[in-house]
Amino acid sequence: MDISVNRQDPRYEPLLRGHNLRFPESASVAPARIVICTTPAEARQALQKAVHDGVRPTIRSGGHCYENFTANNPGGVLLDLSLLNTVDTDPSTGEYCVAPGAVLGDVYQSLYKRYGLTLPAGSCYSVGAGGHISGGGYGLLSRLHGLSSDWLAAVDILTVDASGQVSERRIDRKNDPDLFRACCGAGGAGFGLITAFRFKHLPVAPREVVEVGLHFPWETMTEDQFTALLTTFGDYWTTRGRDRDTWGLFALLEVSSRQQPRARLGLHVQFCQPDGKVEDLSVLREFLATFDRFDPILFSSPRDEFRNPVAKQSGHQPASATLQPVRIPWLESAISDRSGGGGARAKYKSAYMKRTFVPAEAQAIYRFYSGDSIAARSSVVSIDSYGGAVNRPELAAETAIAQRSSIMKLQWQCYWLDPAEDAQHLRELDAFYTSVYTGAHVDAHHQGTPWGDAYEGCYMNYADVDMLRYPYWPELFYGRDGLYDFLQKTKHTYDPNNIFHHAMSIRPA
Amino acid sequence: MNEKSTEVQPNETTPALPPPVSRRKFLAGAAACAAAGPTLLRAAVRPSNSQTMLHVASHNGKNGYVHTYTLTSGECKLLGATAVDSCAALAPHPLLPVLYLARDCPQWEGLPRGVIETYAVARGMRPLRLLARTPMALSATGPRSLAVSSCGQHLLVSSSTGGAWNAFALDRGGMPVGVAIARKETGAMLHSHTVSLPTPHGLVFSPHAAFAIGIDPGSGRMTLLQPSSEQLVAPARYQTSRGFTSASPVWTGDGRYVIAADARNGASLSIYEINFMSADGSNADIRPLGTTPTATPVTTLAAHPTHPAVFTSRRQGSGSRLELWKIHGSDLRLACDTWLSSSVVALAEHAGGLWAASHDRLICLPVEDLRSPHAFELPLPTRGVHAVVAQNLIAL
Repeated sequence: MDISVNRQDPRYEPLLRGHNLRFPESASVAPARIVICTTPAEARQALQKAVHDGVRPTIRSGGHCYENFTANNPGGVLLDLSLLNTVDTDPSTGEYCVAPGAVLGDVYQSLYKRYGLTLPAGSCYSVGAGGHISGGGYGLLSRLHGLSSDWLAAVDILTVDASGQVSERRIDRKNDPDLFRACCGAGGAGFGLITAFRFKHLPVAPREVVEVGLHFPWETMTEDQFTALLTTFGDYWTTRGRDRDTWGLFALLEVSSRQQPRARLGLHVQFCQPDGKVEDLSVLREFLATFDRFDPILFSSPRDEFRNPVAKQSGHQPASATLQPVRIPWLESAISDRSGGGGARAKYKSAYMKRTFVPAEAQAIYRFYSGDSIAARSSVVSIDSYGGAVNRPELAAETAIAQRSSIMKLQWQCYWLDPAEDAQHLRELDAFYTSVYTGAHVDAHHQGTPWGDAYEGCYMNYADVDMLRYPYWPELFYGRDGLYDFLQKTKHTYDPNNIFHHAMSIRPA
Repeated sequence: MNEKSTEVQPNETTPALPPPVSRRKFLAGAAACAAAGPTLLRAAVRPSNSQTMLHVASHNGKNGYVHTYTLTSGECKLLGATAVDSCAALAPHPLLPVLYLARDCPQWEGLPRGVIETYAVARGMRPLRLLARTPMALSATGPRSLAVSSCGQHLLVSSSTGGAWNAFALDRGGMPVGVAIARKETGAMLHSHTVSLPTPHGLVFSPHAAFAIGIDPGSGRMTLLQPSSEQLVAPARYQTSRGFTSASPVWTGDGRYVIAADARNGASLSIYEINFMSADGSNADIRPLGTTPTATPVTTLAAHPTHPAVFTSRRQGSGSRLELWKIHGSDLRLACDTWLSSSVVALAEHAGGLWAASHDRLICLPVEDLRSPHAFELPLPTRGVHAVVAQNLIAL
């Protein structure tokens, strides 16, 4: 029997909170009750009751939704799948099954320890599989192995038909192929309630990885130097980074305020060879060498950044030459990030880039983080390497992820604690983001957005309701080649009553 | 959106109204309204120091307006016009000088939902003053009907394209409080092998309690709705194979019956008995009593102020046939009828007069005898009328 928690239950308030403390915005928009489903049968029963009662169901797996898609549900019911969290195999099919409530850290541990396998998914331990995989999850192994949704063989999902009856479906490329395709990237609780992700094959987990950090002298860096740094980073992924022998290389360039006492402009790198070993570090050394001219400090492990920095280059020895690689068991690396980004109020934005930075973009970022705004002091832009195995053009037609040409993926993250500062943070971050995509480098009719030949829009798993103000927001998230039309038709077929909806769900056609 | 009132033109009055059959013969009730198509109104109690306001919504293809008239004995005077985009429905508060308006906008503040506007009503040259805009629930698009409970505590709106009913609690000042509570509908099988999706449409509150009937032409359902501040429950439903037109049903003044226009099997009206088996209404049912054929489909209905009866309008030739039907057992019997040369789009009953609105004029007939000479005919300053509501303002 499912576990129903109403407003009077002492568990209600704690269970209502996700990782972003902005939501729900107030008690009046919170769901009337929370139902914790521990099995697919309980999920089905809870969903059917919600439909019968005429209340809106929203679905939560790990609670990392960036916007108000789950917690804002006035009078509705929040279906909590966090205890629907198994990772095992189906003895009848041999498929690896991941339940939506399984958090990524547990998924990695379970797949690795039992089978020596992994899933190319995100780096945050506590992110739930449900939203992550169905939205096309990616992480440090995605250049090597693609997106997590690229590996899906089937999905178990509950849908609601036109007459309001809940059906259980096992969908794949032959059975309800359109719905399956939608769940490979545009799932986002917009078509049904997923109860299991099924994988026939999964990549072998690397044995070891090498982690390295570079710390650049942000405090003294000029705008021209910063621009050169960003373009150097982007140039690598545009050129050398396309070669298969580099696909085991993942790098994250993190930019935050120069005004903070520990101003951070750093590069975090994880490397393994495509075969999962770390015997040949030439690719890593070559990559690091491209940054020598920026005079970085090299850390053998980003986690030791402030404890065991390698001595700054002495004499004329470049930092890359001082590399003393520390081999780390891959699993240890994969489950190390347990921070989760929770416990604060937050706002996020994203952009896909198909080429390196142009000066206007770099300048906008430099100037923002050289300023003293409240959002500058509380935010960071993460510039992730992308591409590699993600960029297989044929997958755009087989999945619901349109972005198959990008070489970098950017995430804006802003965190604060005081609700009174909400409006200012949101306003300033939005203005910053808009400034990066304003200028001659963006099409005149799409100013303020990463739209055009140099971009592939935004990532729906980094949901951003600010984008709704642009009438072409579906193109930003789903591309311009008919994917959104396809998703609308699929939505009409499988959710004709629009039971599953949120602020950015697929609109009824 | 521009809200503005036009200047009242001097001497813009209409010929004096003939005295009503009985000035003292009024009933308490709420006035409701409908969207494009039929309009449903009922008479309101009118103390001797009150004044009747008429709000007429129109759209001429480019612009939408609400023209507000004041009716005092002997005079019908245009007070002013308020420009309103995409007005889909109107409803006055039964007790306060407040008017609600549902706007059929595809999205509001970037989200797919309609919006409810609350206006203060006054007798000046700017009779409507915007007080608040309250968004409907997420994905509640396409509002079609508004209704306010007789106690003035609940506002209901139908979301036709959103497939839902929305409820708002109203405070003592008539302002919507909190957020919309939604009740999502699903489709139904009207015919074998076919499930029809819901399109919630007409709404009417009981004259005596905070229960409403909503009809859904898409699914063919009649739903008893009970709003509260926290939820919108449906204690009873009825599925009919006859379907419903988009015309709002009427609830007879004795609170016992609901009469609705059928959509299928020719043209007809059906009577439903609403039974409450428990005091709180949680145990209730909707029972069909009978069906009465009409010559052509009924397009709009209005409740009789005193009898369990209904006024209807239907197209006939180049005009409209107005009919008064009285409940007799399980049937409706025609008591009176007349033909108008205009195509009536809305009906309203108030203070002993039956107001029939066509696209460009209002016609008032005595409730007691539709065949009497017309009380008067009021040309309207704009075409495209689609809704009319009446409201009493207590004179200060």
